[in-house]
Amino acid sequence: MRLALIGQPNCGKSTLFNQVAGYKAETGNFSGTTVSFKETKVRVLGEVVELVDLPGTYSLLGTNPAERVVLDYLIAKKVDAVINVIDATHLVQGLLLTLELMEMGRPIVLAINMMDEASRQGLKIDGKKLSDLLGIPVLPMIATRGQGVRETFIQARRIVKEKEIPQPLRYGNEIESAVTDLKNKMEQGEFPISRRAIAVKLLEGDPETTKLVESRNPGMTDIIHGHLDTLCHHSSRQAVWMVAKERQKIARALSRKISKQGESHLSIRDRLDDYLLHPIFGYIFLVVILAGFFTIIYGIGNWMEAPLLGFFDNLTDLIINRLNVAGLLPQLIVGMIQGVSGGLAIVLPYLVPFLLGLGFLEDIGYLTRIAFLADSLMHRMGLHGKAIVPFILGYGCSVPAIMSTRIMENKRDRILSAALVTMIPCAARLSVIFGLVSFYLGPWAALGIYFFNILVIAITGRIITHFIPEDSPGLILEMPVYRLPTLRTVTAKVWFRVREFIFEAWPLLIVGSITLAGLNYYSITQYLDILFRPFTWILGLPSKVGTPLIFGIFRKELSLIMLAQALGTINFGAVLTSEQMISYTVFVVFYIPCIATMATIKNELGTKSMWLITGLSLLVAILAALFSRLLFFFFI
Amino acid sequence: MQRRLAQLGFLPGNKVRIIRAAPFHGPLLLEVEGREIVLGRGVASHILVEYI
Repeated sequence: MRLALIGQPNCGKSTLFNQVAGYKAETGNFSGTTVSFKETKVRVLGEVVELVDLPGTYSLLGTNPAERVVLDYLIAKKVDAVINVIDATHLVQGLLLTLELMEMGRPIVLAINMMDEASRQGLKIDGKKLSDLLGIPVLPMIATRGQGVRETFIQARRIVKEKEIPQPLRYGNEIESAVTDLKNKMEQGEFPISRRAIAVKLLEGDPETTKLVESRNPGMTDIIHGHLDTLCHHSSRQAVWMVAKERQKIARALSRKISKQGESHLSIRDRLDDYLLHPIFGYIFLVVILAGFFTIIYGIGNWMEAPLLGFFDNLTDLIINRLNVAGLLPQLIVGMIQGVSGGLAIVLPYLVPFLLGLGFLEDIGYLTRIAFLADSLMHRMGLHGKAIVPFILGYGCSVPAIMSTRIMENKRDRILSAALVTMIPCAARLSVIFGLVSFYLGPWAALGIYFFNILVIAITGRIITHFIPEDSPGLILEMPVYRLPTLRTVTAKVWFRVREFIFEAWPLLIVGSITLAGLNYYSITQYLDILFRPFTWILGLPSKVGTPLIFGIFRKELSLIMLAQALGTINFGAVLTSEQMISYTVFVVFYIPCIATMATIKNELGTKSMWLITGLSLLVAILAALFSRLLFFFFI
Repeated sequence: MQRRLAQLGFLPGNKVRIIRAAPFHGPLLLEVEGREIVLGRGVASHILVEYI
């Protein structure tokens, strides 16, 4: 049995998915967090059921690649029942999709999520009545607390068993007669979705469905156009609008019948936007919030890093003295300790607070506000405000950031934002910035690197836009209401990414560190260093840092942890000048994306884009690092 | 583009309210069908409205 979760963006599908699947999907309080589908197996009343989480979509028209996934999935795979999640506070809009889904000819259960939010707004919803009106099971739900989840799955299982196909609602006569005619004239074979749904999609002008029908029966082209023309002629409106308008009428009527608006308790949260989106104060708050965010990360990380490093230094000395042997073995042990301590003392102290903070800002709904405030700035780089979503995700990890470029409508925007996103210091590079620059040169230097990074990205975007001009239609985004994040969803999100570091990256770090110790012992690293010498020479760095830079391509954290191994000490202040630390860090921030990122770019945008972006990042890295040296030369 | 706007509730006859505008020719925050939608000026300039 296969169940599909479908709903509009930001209605809590992924939260529900995570409730039943453990933490496997990313969630956030903005549209487009899920861009492809995720599958999992769940147990309902002792039966194993396959559950798929599909990206949020306003309708089944699929006007961007992420939304396209939904209709494609429904057509390609056998879905036994749809669990349609809607946001209780946006009933009319949610019901539009429900009405569309009911046409598909699949059993459907409706879960009205965020009932807590609705009652806070004074909204009373009669689920029983809605169930009677639509003829499908309707259940109230609070996915963040797991309420109503079990009942929803039990109902879903029941309707599959009893093959409860919903009765589609009727449109006005004009559309109904066109639909009936198209249904009858279509080829008689099997279609993956109901014939009625296909007929409606044809009237809505969905290009994929039209192609599918025409390929089976070329004669349909004229019939479809005939209907479109007649409908347009009668009402002087396009058929797609007429269909949408009729659905809206039905949805409004339904919503009126089942919901009552009581007294709202939202005054403070509503007024929040008066300050946070204010033309002047909004930007001041933005700077203050981001500055506070980084100060907190720095404070916590720094407070933990120093004692941990001291502890591991002592431990290393102790072991070396105890063993009291020369040769390969102590070198390898030191390498191993440096790998372990690198993860524990340098990466985790910054990574955990960073992810906690980001998760909090994400769930509260502030990220979309940043998109609103930053839109005009983003246009200067040739992108619109929506690109801020991959940008902000990029501070966590480039891989999901690049995937999230799917929320953009055209390919040029996707490639440009992917190129710029790879240059944003991800959490791994954050450890280099904080572990090296901030620890030895102070928090202001680290903040300076972040600002410099944004500046370089902006200039790069600007230059590229000069050659490939922007043709995107501009920003279209839904503004989510502020939501108080629950501790459970935020910590689950943090654990999702921290787990990835601990189980995937950290072992690699330790093995890499040991390997490097071995290579060092047999003096092989000097050959690797020669390979990177052209770069290290330009940057004014000791040739020994070539090896960490090469390892950094595998995992960005390695470029810091291997640095310890390559330079033979974890006290970088003693062996590198401030200028060298800065130019090294700047180079690391920009140069060649890590292997995982490259693979993602290749998957999402093709091999050519991958090499293009890689080459571009290397070029920008060299120029940026040179520029930072120049700044040092003139001002300090 | 029309289909995308239609999905979000920008249909002939629906009421739209401008809640606020971002400075520097930035996007508009609009209310349509009980939902807050951000539209860039480029897109917004293509929507024909009647002042009420």
